Amino acid sequence: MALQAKNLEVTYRTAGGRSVPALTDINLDIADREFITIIGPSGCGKSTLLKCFGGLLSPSSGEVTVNGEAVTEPDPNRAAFVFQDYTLLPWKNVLDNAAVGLHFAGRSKDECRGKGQEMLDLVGLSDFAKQYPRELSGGMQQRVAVARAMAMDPDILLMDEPFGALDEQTRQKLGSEMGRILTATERSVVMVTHSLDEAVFWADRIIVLSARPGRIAKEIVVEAPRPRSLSFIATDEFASIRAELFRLLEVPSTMAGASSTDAAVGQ
Amino acid sequence: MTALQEAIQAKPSGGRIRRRRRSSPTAHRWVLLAVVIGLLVVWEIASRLEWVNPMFVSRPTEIVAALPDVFGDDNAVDALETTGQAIWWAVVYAVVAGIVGGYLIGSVQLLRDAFYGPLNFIMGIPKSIFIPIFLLVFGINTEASIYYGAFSGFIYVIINVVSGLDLVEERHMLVARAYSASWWHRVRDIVLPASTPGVFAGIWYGIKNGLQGVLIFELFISVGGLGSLIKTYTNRLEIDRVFVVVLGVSLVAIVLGEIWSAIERRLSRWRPSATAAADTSI
Repeated sequence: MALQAKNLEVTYRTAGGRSVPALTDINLDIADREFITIIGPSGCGKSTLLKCFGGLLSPSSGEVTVNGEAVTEPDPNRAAFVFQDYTLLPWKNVLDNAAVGLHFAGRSKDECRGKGQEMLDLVGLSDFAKQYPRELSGGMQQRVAVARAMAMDPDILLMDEPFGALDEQTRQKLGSEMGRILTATERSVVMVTHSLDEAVFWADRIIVLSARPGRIAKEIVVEAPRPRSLSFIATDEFASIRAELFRLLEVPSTMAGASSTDAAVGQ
Repeated sequence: MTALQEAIQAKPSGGRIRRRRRSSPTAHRWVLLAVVIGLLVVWEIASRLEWVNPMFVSRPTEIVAALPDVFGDDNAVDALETTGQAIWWAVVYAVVAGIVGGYLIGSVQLLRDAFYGPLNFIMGIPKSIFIPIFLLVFGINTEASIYYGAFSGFIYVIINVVSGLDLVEERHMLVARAYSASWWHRVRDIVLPASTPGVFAGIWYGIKNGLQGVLIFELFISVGGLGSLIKTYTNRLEIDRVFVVVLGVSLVAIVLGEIWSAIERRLSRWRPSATAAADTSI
């Protein structure tokens, strides 16, 4: 088992001293090499959950373990993040960005360069090593962000709407390419997304969160083997799961245990 | 570009609104040179025909003729040396103290709350009103002009460095946390590079205002140097020599600005555009 969340609960305290539950009763097991997508209405705590998985946020109660070890602080060798915005450091070139985690860990320059170059080869950007992020398209920048995470050789990859800022065409193209890369690297991946298509296309299992406070409303297994080609979008399996997700997200009252307020579509 | 602008640009050249042609950099330089030469000619004619009083406004040919006089004048050479050294030290003090102070005030909230307001206030008022205080504290000597120049530049350096620190983005700090960067790595790899636009602008304003401060002090108080020399030449009505010194100082300031721009461009290759670059116009 790669990651386990037991009775996870996160409560925020407002400026007025009021407690606001963000996540409640989260129990989840993620297997080795499993690809999980998390989807839910806006503000349901998807990113909060991902931060708990990566140690960027301590849960109010419950615990997260990776390979049996409790997660109390970020450790990119255990779980490495790919964030939504373009979070490359603009003053470092592409190679240095890909190896920045190793640089932070105090590895030698040669090791950083070697591993960075290897990861750029993996995401198909080895020709752009010396360029600065501003010279790359949004899709290319996100590929570097994936390379940066993969360079840490993490047990789990945590992706927070990694393609959210890209246009539809780039998302599709990058999607099938990343699917190939992530399947080849045999990692467990947890990806938060707003997109129904992305949630179905990528996942071995889809976790649907209910509206705030976020709790697991439904788990849906996608049977089609990975990596999937774009033709998977035209299959009946894709269409029926997508329709089910749409229904779940459009009418939160149909979710198990979900509150009936704030009907929001997570698209 | 707005839709209207696009429509205007797309109009064929035979239409009523013609596409605006951009001149090439070489053509731009020639136009600039022609304008400067034209102005010099007009100035010369105006002085010769006595449209302006030649006693108070010298003419270009006389200024050129006065060059050997000024450079042969021992007082002028001494003044150049005095002012050059004073500006150098004023700028060094302003930049070093401003950068250290800026990072301290920018990163410690208590210090920012206490000092940022007063510093902004001082930046907004004419610094020359503090000259009497510098006279009282340091006396009538070259050191006073150095400290006054340093003070004039320091305020701009510190304010710009604090503004530079505000450019550090939360998302980059989050990456540093997620990738377990140590305190030192966060400072060296995130905070320092992210704040460089502010530091560069601060250094430039430190140079510019340090230079100005020293010259103004020398003009007000006769402690030697080029400021005092300008006053001496003016009192003797040697206006051609005054112009030699004034134009010389202007030229030095312009050259310093250009050198600094080149250094900044080289160090800021990663930045998305030149819009955030320090304005090194005089």
